[in-house]
Amino acid sequence: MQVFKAYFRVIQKNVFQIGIYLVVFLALALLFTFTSTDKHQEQFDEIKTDVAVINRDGDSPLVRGFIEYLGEKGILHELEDSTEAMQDALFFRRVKYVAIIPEGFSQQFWAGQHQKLEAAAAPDSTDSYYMSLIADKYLSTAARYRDFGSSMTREEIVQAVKEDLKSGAQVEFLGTTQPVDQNYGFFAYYQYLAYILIAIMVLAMSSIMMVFNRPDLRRRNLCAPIPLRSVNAQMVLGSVVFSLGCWLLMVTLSVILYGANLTDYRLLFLSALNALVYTMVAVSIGFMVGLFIKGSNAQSAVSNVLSLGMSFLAGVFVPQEIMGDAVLTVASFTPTYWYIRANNSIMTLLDFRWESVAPICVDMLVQLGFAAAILAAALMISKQKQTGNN
Amino acid sequence: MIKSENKTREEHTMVIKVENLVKRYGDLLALDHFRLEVEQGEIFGLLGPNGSGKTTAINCILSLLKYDKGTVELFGKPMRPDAYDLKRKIGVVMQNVAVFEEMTVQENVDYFCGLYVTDKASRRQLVDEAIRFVGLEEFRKFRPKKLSGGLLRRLNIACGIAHKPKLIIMDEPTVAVDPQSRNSILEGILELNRQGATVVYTSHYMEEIEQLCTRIAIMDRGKTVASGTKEQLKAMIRGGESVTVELYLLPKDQLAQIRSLPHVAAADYQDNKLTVRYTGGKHNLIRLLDYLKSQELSFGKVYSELPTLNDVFLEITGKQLRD
Repeated sequence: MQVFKAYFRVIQKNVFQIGIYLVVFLALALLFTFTSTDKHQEQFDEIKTDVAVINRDGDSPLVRGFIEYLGEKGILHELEDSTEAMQDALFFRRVKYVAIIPEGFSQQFWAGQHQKLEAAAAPDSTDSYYMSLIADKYLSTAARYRDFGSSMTREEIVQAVKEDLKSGAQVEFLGTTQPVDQNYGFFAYYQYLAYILIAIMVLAMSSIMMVFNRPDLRRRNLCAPIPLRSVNAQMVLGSVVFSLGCWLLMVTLSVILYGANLTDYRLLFLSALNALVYTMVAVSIGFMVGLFIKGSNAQSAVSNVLSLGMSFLAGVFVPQEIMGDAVLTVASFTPTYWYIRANNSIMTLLDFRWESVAPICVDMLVQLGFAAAILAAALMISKQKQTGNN
Repeated sequence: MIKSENKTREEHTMVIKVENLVKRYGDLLALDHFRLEVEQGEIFGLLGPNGSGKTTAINCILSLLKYDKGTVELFGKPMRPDAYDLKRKIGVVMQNVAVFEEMTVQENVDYFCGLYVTDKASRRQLVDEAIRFVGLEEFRKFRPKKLSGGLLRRLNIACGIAHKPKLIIMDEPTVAVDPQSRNSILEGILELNRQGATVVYTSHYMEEIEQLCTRIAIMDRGKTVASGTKEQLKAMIRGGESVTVELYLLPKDQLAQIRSLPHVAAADYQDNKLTVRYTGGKHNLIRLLDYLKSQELSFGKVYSELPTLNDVFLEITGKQLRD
């Protein structure tokens, strides 16, 4: 296992450079996680509108209850009872709805005369329409008690209305849609993994290839009584161990960073599996690139160009949804596109039935196809290069 | 019966046998029916100018290069890329230093030794011996970048010989090495030979070849132009030793008489220096000095030079070894 051991000696020499990529990746992942805007809002919050009440009727249980209810449904602001103050407040959007309780409103209400509330609203504001409905709802409920609860005092009616209106509609999301906002950091992490895996694998594989393909070292290895297939097998084993190690490290980090908040561990399984498949792609790309790289300067440049180029093209940094069709068509010729597509599907997975998971598996199979094709091409080129040397 | 015994003996003692090796690079004929026979225990020198085909020959012998025609036998068996039993007996020291920059001296020697010796305990011992042999004990933990050119060459040798091969092939191992390291390397090669290894040594430094080798083959344009011991090679040429004497005065008559002395091929007097070249024979210097004394010609310094391999090469090919 001399070649296998030498493999890791070479990797060890490049561990600092690989470490830099890892640190940058982790920093980026954490940064994006904590600064990302919540693009996938899927929890219900009741809208609260800025409102004001101008009371010209004076204090009464009905008016008090009404103002209290509006205060619960909106954000109540003090407003001077003047046309100018009202117009200013609405124009500058300090409030969007102003309810004006006219003089004698309570008296007329209890007398059964229906007097409408006066109201002023900010132009083109849907919120004001909503607040107008809220106000009507309060008064119509009170009117029902007035008309049919003859034994109740006015205070009791106001109290009953208050109790009735407390019961709102319970909002629940239908289906089993992922609470994406909660898992957003996790998915973002796996999204950026596409970049770092290519960068690290190209760097590591090309380092190995550069060393073992050095003509003098290669000749010396060929002089030894060790079959070429054994040398290759040890190198393949080294690559498998290294890539699995990298993958495992990345998955472990994702669990450490996001595991506590993860809503379903089956998501972790699918994401990790997708990352494993993509790791194979990255290894084959690294192997191919390593055949052509001669120096460390070129190595660094190629690693950055490939990893960043494919990431930008395939939607690692920019969501695929907002990318043009032409760009996406071009991107579909890169394995990164399929990795991101699978990751996006995992992110929006509704359930774990086979029908839902199958498209993700197809994306992974396409990635495996890329890995096999790139590896086959690289092996062919490698063979041709060896024949050429002879 | 005697013929059969001789044949058996030959099979046992012949370490390398190359016949009619032809290797072409496109239109360039790199090896032209190259022949080589190296016996066990020899230090065999392969001498030739740059581009004469030495390295190509070595690569073909080691099955690192495919050749167009011919046969290569090592230890009596055909050499092939998969002849691992043969490869196990061979140590190679390449022209360029072939070590891992990422490993220390000890790790490098251990790596290459480990390709031949799997047992850890014996490998550890072999690695220690090899490092001691090339004098790198103090540099065990050094990476190659920290070593000087000479030390690097020594490491290169240690990597090639650590597994104690029976045949060591050294392809110009002293290129760009300082004189001190060169002497150390040459002494090491002699020691390896004393320990029983057969050595094939290629170089374009004739002094090294003369100093080391028991037999020599001179290569030019892909073929062996002469081979034998250095004495045999020197005997192949007409020119023998050359004597130079500082003389303040040499009349023409005496110069003519010197030319008629036995074995004198040529005599010339220029810038107060008499140069006499001989075709062979013994006691030429004494005979010349006796003559000068008898003529009462006072002389200063006297130099005597034996023919070199360069003279051999010059006479056979018509060009200098270092052309």
